[in-house]
Amino acid sequence: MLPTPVSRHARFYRYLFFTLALVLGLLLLYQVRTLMTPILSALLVAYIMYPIITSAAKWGIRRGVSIAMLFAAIFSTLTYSGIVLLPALHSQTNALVRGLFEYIPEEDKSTLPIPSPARGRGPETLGAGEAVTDGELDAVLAEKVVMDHTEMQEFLPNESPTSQPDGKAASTKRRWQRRLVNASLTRLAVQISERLHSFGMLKDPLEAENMVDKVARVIGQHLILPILKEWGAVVGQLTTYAKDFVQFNFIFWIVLAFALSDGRKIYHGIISLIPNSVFEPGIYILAKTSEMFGYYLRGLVVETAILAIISFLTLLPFCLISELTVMLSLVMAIIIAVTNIVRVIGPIFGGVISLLIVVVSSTDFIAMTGVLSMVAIVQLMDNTLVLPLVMKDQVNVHPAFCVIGVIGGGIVGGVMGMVLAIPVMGGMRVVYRILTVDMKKFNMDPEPRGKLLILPRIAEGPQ
Amino acid sequence: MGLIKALTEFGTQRTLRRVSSSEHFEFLRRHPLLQDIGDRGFLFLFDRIVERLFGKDELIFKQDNLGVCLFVVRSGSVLLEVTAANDDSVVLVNRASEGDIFGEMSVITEQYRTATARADAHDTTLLAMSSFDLNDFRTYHPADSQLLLRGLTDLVCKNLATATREAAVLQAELQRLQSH
Repeated sequence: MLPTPVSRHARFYRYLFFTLALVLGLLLLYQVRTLMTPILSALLVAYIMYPIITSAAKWGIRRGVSIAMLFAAIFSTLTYSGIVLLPALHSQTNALVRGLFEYIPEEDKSTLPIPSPARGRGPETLGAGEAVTDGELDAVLAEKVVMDHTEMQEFLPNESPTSQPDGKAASTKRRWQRRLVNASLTRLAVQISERLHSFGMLKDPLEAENMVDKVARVIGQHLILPILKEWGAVVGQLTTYAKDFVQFNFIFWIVLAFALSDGRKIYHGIISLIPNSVFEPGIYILAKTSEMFGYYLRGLVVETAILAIISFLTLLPFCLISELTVMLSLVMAIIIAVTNIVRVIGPIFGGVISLLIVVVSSTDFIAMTGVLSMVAIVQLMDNTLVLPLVMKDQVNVHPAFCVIGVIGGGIVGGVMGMVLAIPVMGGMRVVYRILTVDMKKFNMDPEPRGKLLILPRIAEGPQ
Repeated sequence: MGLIKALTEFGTQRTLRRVSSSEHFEFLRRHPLLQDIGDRGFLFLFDRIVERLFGKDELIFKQDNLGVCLFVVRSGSVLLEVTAANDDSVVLVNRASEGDIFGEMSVITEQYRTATARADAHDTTLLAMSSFDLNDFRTYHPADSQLLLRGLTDLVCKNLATATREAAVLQAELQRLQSH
């Protein structure tokens, strides 16, 4: 009996059912998105690392052994990086926090939920009422800053060095030195104004200083103060974060191990879900999107590595001629390269973070210039050379859609959503192209056959 | 190099032993298209072959649709029909049974299907191999892929020879009918 054509109503209800199922599925995923982040991250990492496991299998190494070796390598790298980078990150973070307090108006410091270094609660800060003698301060100024005593009083208005408490001279002097270094934004403003003055672009360098000082205070009040207030809330919720961290890692490493060992089974499982009627289009779409994802993710790893090297090499010369250290350069290079993973927004974030680190930890104008030029060079090279070479034309998404996608991804899936936004959009573009171009004439509806002619060979049966 | 080769061979043999108990392993290893391929190449393909089950009269693929897979009939049978361009009449051009391969033309030429395939028996089991997997096979196992391509070319040539012979017979029959 010949199959009857599917009626229009039946087709409508079928599409309605699948649309509703899709919407419900998406809603469900949204509800459990906190669990989805580690799962998606693990699948992502597994996708990138899967070729290593399959290559190892070709060499006769069992999957379990190669996964154990890979995990050992990852943990070793993380531990080593932690040992090398954490002290530097710790000191930079400390400097950042200390520095941020410098730009907050005194009256607002009392409203902060965390101990303020300026109120003398921290062990390495200048306490209220502590002071140095004029002679010591002059020595520090002569050594560390270009300003005279009067200017120094202007940008540290609440600290009046009058008398010297017994037995504290040396430590107080060191604190003053730190405080002067931390006040780098003001000093930078002075340096810029001096440069502008020397080029004849500014009549009075002090005007620029005052102007930048005012700007710094406005920034302190409207930008840094809210951050620090939020910071206090963050510190208060450390327990919650620790719980999330443990939960994330628990799910992440288990899913990663399963995905690496049973990647092919997962692939077959996905294929088995495809109905017979759309088996070939399903395979086609899966292969094409998987190809695009593969290009993008492996390209992203290569791109990040290249950008880290370029950033580091760009900063290295500045280590010779400025206060920038090699370790700080390495940290900033990694920050710039890693934040670049989130398209459009990431590079801006990375640039601002690097600039903040250098502003707070160094008082050198050349170091600042170095970081700014590094950010510019890296972005230029990434967009003109690295990205076209590594990604080719696999994920060609318009920048405006990139921004919208990244913001949307951030709302739905946090950082992982932002990272995945572009490949997901690229995948949707691939699917759209397949459905509208490659599969435009695709039709699997059973149609009534006309007259059936059977060739003699078939009619006679097997020879 | 010797050690690496020995290690690779050791791993391949162990994997072969592990998967030899899998369903379809013996069937595929002895299939004329795959029997000459090396162990590593065979394992590569075996890992990627997908099993599909079709009911009687269910469409497997349709003429003029984009073709992505070639199929090996594991059990049951499949009818291959071509719809004539000038009217709605359908010509049954082939019946594929256990061990037969069909759908290879679209995979080789990456063109649209030239025929419609329909399951002719309940629980027709097919083993599908996609053109993407065959492309990967060509990249990772070039020597074995030459053998596979040779096998597919032989199959296409054999089908072409049959079709030419039948066309000649039909042409002669047509002329005989016209002369009457």
